[in-house]
Amino acid sequence: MAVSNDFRRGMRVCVPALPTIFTIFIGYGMAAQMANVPPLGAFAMTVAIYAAPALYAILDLSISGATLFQLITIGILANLRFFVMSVTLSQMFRDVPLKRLLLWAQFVAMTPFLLTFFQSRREEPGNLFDYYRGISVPMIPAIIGGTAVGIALGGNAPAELIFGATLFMPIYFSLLLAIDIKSRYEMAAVGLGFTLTPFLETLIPGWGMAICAVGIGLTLSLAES
Amino acid sequence: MTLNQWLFVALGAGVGTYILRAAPFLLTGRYMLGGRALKFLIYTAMSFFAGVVSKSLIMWKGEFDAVELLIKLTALIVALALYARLKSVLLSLFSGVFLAVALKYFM
Repeated sequence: MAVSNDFRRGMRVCVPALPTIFTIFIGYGMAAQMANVPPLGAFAMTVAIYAAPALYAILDLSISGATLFQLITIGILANLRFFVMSVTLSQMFRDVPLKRLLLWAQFVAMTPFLLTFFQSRREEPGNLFDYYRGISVPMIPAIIGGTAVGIALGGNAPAELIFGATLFMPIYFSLLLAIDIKSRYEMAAVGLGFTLTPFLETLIPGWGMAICAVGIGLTLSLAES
Repeated sequence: MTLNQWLFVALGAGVGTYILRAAPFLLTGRYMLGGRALKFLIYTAMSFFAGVVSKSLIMWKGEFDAVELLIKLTALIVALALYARLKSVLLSLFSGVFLAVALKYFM
């Protein structure tokens, strides 16, 4: 299959986010080892669930002796935000054959979703599905490699390195936001999301960000109309 | 827990999560949503974006550290200021991260 320019652009734009993604999964690999998850089990969870917050939630709950059903339920509930992301992406990919969409649906995650969303707002967005695939592909080795490195390191990673690597994504996303805000309602969405999310995440861990975003989206869209 | 139990959890949570990811392509993907629904999706996405940033900066791994927050905010402000001046995302990004690591090392 030929690789399009949009696919390459997607790969390029994903690069600055990779160190943070890699580090997040190093953290998961380390946590999995500390929770006595067999390496094969840790890898299977990474590949099947493909979302760090849900993986952390499952590990947290497993330590407190939850049942298998509870672990599966928390893993799914922690990922409810993907439904909203896929609704948005489905509007951008309306011309793509369903078979291809269902194949690539497994890679719906925060970074491909947000970067594709920003690209869709440009004057010439190009082929957004190729762009999304281009973002998704380099994330796969970062996620699996991060898990492997985390399992290998245990608790021995240098603190400054981890600290620095975790900053790539928030600073990168802040720069993209600064470039892309187009109206005062969008500015309000960003301001409210930035200030309210930490509070709601503290109150309802794993749910706060999704509830906050959907609540703000609903409020502002109603206010504007 | 045994390996088989972990594999069962991976399968169960993986299938459930895949349904959440794939269902909208089956349900809404064939239809064009109206203006208000699109606005809702845009504001929700922007809010997600800002939430990712603030969660990473303020409560990485669920922990709050005032000194680290100060370092991160300094790095963020420097990166934004550099971008305003140089219009280079990568240079601004790496400068901000490098500054944060240096501050963390010396503090």
